[in-house]
Amino acid sequence: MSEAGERTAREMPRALRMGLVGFSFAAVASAVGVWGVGFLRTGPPPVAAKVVRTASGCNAYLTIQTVGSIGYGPRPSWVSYLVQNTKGQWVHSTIFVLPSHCTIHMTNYEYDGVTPLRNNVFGRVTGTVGGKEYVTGDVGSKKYSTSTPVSVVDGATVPAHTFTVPALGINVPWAATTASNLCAVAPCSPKSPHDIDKITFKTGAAGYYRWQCIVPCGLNFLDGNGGPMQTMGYMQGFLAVEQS
Amino acid sequence: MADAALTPAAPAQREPHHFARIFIIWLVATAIADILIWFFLYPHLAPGRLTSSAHGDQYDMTVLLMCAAPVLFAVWLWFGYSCIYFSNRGTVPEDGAWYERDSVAIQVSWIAITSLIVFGLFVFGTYELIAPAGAGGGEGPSAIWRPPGAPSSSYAALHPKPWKPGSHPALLEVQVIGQQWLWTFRWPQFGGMETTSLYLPTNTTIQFNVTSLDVIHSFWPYRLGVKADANPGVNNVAYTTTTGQTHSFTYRCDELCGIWHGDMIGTGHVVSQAAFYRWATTEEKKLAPLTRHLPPYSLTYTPSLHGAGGGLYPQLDKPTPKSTGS
Repeated sequence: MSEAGERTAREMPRALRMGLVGFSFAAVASAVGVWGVGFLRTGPPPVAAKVVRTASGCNAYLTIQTVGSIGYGPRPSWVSYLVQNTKGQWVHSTIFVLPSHCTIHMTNYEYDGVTPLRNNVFGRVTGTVGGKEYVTGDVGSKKYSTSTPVSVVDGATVPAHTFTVPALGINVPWAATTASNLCAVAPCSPKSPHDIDKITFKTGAAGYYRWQCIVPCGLNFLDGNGGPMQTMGYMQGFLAVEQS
Repeated sequence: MADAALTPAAPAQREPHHFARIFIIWLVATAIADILIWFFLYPHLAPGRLTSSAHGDQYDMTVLLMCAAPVLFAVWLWFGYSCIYFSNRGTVPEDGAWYERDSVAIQVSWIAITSLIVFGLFVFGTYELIAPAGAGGGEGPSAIWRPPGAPSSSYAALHPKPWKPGSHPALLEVQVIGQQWLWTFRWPQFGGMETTSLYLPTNTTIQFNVTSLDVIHSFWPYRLGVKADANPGVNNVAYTTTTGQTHSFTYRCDELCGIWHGDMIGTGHVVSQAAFYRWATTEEKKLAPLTRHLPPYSLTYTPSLHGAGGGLYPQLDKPTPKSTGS
């Protein structure tokens, strides 16, 4: 057989070649698409507050903790929030599901130390019932062994983080513990140094309200604004207020 | 052949005066359009007439529209007329197209008209920038053209005269502070208090001192006709004067500033001078415990080099070995 004849015999039919190329292209495109959709849909799970309805009305209980470093996962050194689900398990999430027109009793276990506010105007508690938070633990140089109402704190020496919901006018500077042996791996237990900060606020109409920490606490990022400050699940999230 | 020779020649069809036709149609259409723009569109054109700068924007855009309409009609008319009267009806010239070569009149007219338009816009734009003194745009830390009563120096801006209803000149300084992802406002004439809400009095010239604590933002209360970049370390001044009308307005960030840029939005209110004064004095008293913790009023606030580990008002930072040189 001539050389040309051998080459022709080895070559695949044109239609088969085109089919293979098309199939490969479609497979790669599909894989990229699936990965892209998966990436976009990746996010912290919504965690519902414990709701108690009585004749007097709706009350919901939400317990969170703030840690200086999450201690695991792809960003172990990042500062983060965690929330307790109705089974009492700590979940790494910042999407809190709350009922509408309900009184929310929120407790924050603050395991992080002081990170000064960039703007001290956020040292004022707003949007909560009575415009106060109730702190057990350190408030700067003061130490409260019982839950003590606080309405304004010095932004340079007191807050660790804030819980700020612009659309609802809520701003709460979480008082930080002044201890040095801080918990470094979440979830932290009350055996570690901590403050307990409690607030009560009311939800209004159903909606999706974004919240953020306004303290620039993204350590090692420019002006503290990157990383956890701009990543869902760490220092920002949503209040998913659902129709009740 | 003999018959043809005897037949009297048909009179040549007289070519109409195309330019005169186009000019007359253009003149009528332009006049109608400009009258419609002035009387019907102008009063409704964005951003409205709620402040001097908004009204200025509205007037400028109306004038530009009235200038643009003749140009637009000229192009459309020439195109349409050419399609109707100069289209190819089977008599293609040898080189494939008709054109007028080396028409000095057309060239001179073109250059003269376009030069006139550009020069006219230059004069109009410059006059509009200077004459109203405060066009609503950020004019940097020391604006060249200021409205009456505006402080002429940074020192004067830091120490403004007290504001009361009816005071003349009724200039109110409002410091706008952008930070990821909220706006706050400081009021040097009310004890340096800082609020998260924005109220303005009617019939008052406002001096917005716009700055940022972190990245670049842009303060944009659209209906006030104000837009000024908020740069860290820079005081960007913008002026406007409210009218007697009370209303609400939206302010937003117009500079992509991070993940929640789109949520950096709020609602401001223009209220009567008396209502504003009541609000401001009440807030001043209410916020006194918080104002104690604020740094002294300043035109800019420089973030600390300590980043997340330190206070971002330098006066609150403890000196580090590096910064003290030890």
